Amino acid sequence: MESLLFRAIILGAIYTLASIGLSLQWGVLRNLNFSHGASITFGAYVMWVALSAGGLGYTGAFIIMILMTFLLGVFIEWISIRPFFGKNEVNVFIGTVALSTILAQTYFILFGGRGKYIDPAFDGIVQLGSLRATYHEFFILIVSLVTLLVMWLILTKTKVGLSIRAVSQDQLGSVLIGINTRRVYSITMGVATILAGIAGALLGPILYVEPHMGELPMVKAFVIVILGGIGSFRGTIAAAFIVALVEVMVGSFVGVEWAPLSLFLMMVLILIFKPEGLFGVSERKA
Amino acid sequence: MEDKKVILETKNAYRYFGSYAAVNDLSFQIFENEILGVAGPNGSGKTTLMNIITQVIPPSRGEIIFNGQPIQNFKAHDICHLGIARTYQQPMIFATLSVMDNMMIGATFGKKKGGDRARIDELEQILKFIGLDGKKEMIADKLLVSEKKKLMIAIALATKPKLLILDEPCAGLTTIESKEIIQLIERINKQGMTVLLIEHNMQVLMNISHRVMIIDQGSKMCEGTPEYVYNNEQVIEKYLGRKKKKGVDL
Amino acid sequence: MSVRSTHRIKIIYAILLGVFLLIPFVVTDDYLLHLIIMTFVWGIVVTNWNLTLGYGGMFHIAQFTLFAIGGYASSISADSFGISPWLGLFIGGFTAALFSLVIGLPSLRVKGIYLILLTFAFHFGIKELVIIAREYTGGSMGIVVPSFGFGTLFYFYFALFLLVISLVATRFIEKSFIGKALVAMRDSEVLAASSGINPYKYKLITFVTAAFITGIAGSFYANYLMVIGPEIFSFTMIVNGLGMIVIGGMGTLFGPIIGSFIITFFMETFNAFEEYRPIIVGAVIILMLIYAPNGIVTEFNKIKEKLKAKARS
Repeated sequence: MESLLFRAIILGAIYTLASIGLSLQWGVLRNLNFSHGASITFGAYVMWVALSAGGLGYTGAFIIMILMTFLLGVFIEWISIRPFFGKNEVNVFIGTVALSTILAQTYFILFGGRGKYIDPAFDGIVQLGSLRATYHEFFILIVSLVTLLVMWLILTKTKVGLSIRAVSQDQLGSVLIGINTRRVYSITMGVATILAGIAGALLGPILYVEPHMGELPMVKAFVIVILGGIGSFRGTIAAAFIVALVEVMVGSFVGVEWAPLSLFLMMVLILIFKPEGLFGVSERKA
Repeated sequence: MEDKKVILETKNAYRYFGSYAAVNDLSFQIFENEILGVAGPNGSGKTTLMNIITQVIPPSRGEIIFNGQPIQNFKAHDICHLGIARTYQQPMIFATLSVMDNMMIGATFGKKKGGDRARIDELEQILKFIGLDGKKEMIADKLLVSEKKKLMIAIALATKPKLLILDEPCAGLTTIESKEIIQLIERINKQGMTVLLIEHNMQVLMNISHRVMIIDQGSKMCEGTPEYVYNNEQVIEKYLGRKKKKGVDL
Repeated sequence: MSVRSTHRIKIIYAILLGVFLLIPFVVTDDYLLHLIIMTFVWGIVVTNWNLTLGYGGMFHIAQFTLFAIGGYASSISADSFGISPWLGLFIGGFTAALFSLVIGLPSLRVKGIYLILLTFAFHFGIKELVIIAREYTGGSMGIVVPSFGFGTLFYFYFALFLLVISLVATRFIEKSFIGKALVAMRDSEVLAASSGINPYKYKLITFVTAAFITGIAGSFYANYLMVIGPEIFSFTMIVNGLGMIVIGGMGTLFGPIIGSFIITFFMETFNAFEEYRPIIVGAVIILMLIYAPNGIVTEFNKIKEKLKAKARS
């Protein structure tokens, strides 16, 4: 039982990272990016390339990954969101979906379909009473916590963070007080993609890195973002752990093949009966 | 006036947005064939009141009764079928359709099947009445703002309503255009139509309405004949007074 | 003038139909004929999708869900219960229509990103169900489907027939009072509702109609290829389908078919660059969205209007 709970916590931490970027993006840009999965994969591939190149060490590879994913996020915003922004959210969907197939195929051409394995930063297994855990699992926990903390600091203490929060609260008002909203959109997408990239880098040693590796985590991220209430950070974090727990429990007590179905069922039920999510406040209709 | 038939009333109606009550325990009545003018400061809940009556948004609590029938659980299109038509503050029209087709939408769908469907000549009559008969074939998007607002009224009339709700029909129009609309409303009323009119301009409202209701913070502040309301101290203090101090409030 | 022009259009339609009917007599290459049949099949799928999203304004991604359900329903009825493929076509259509009710009843109440997400969840949820119900569906391996046992010619004409039915249904709904309601709702859903239109009702009617034809097309597809598997649920399918609609022109009658033709033949022509095809399709979709969001048909009409205006002056 402890090991199941522990697994749920580790999964929840990764899911938090994978979904909080989507939540941030919804708050600021009011749309969902369907190439988020490709961003997760991107983070994993950059990590793999940087580590295989050698000489950089884990920290160096991690920094390069963060820089690259930021650039990818800016690019995604520029090519598949900005042209349609505020005009047509359906086109944002089509654009980001199209971009995600482009990215996945590019990975395939560059790296082939075969799964790549990323060495964890710390190898080995710890035995704590009845609990067997890998160092990498603790590493995931720590990295997730630090990432969330850094993001919280950026959002609350820096000028960029303040402008992101201002835009997410009041788009028009932000323009009026002189915030360059376009830049905020780019930066938000950059940050959201960094978060996806970190999730990918942490997933690397658990899943094999292959062109479509990020897609299932993205789908789970959608479930999480909806469950938590679109745009609510606290809700997203809570929902990430709920989804992880459901997945682990269904997987071990009902059967592994039922886990994805249970998530989609959850998604359908929430969207039908409580579209504002468990923790969200229903949006004010005028 | 007293023994007139009530056509629509609300009983303790509420509408919350989160914890904020945009309509707060509001009860009022409108009698057949009258023009009831509704006024109140910005954000006082006038439009929300019209929205909960016509079910554009559902009321949170309370009763809404039309011709003796509770309608608070109806859907927007049912409300229209019952005979309540409305316009909006913003010019809302079916932009890609011609003026005539706009009217056809109201005429075709405004009544349940079996209801008398408006014939073309009836619609043409309405257009003439409204003053849009020259623009029958024009695509609605190309109309001027004032014409769009007239078209909105025309669509509402095409549904053959018993009660017509007009949400600031003069907002955004020039003085001359407004006068035209006001005259139009009086003509519509003379034909026997009950009109519930939201209007920001107190002068206009006092002139045209048989009775006036002032709303403040989602509640009824005062209701009665124009003279009564005009001389009500609370209204003078909170609404007319404020308006004088600040000058233009439009 | 307008009477004469509609008459002229009718003649053009008749000639076009005649040309299509004659194709198998001109095209003797079996592979080419197969490509044309596939163009028809995708044409049916995207024409019905376009009916709901282009005309109906319901942007959902459940089209391939319904297509797959139609395919699986008839295949399972043939494979597990020995029902004839003819009856299977209707079983496919009715099952898809039934599921479209299950999906549509909750989904069509919401709009925008919520509608996308809800149909997304249904799509992948049903895919998981198909994989789990291995006994009947063959799981991730799929089912081998008994065929009609006719030649390519039969499939060609049957696909053409379904395509024509799809076009007629689209045109019929567009011209009927349902189409008027759909246009009114697209222009302003709020005003439409307060003018007496029950948005939900007309959306649902359109959605179920499209699903019925799509389900039949799904059964046809499974019978024709003699196999159906969960790949039909893949994201690539959705992207290609959307690509056909976007490239051809959303909300136009013939746009999606033209898109289907372009993408199907493009995929074949660039067979040698197999790896690059998805990238090119994706890039074309994005470029079209940015520079010609209304598709080829609309751009073509614009050019025609310009030429006419020039000719007049």
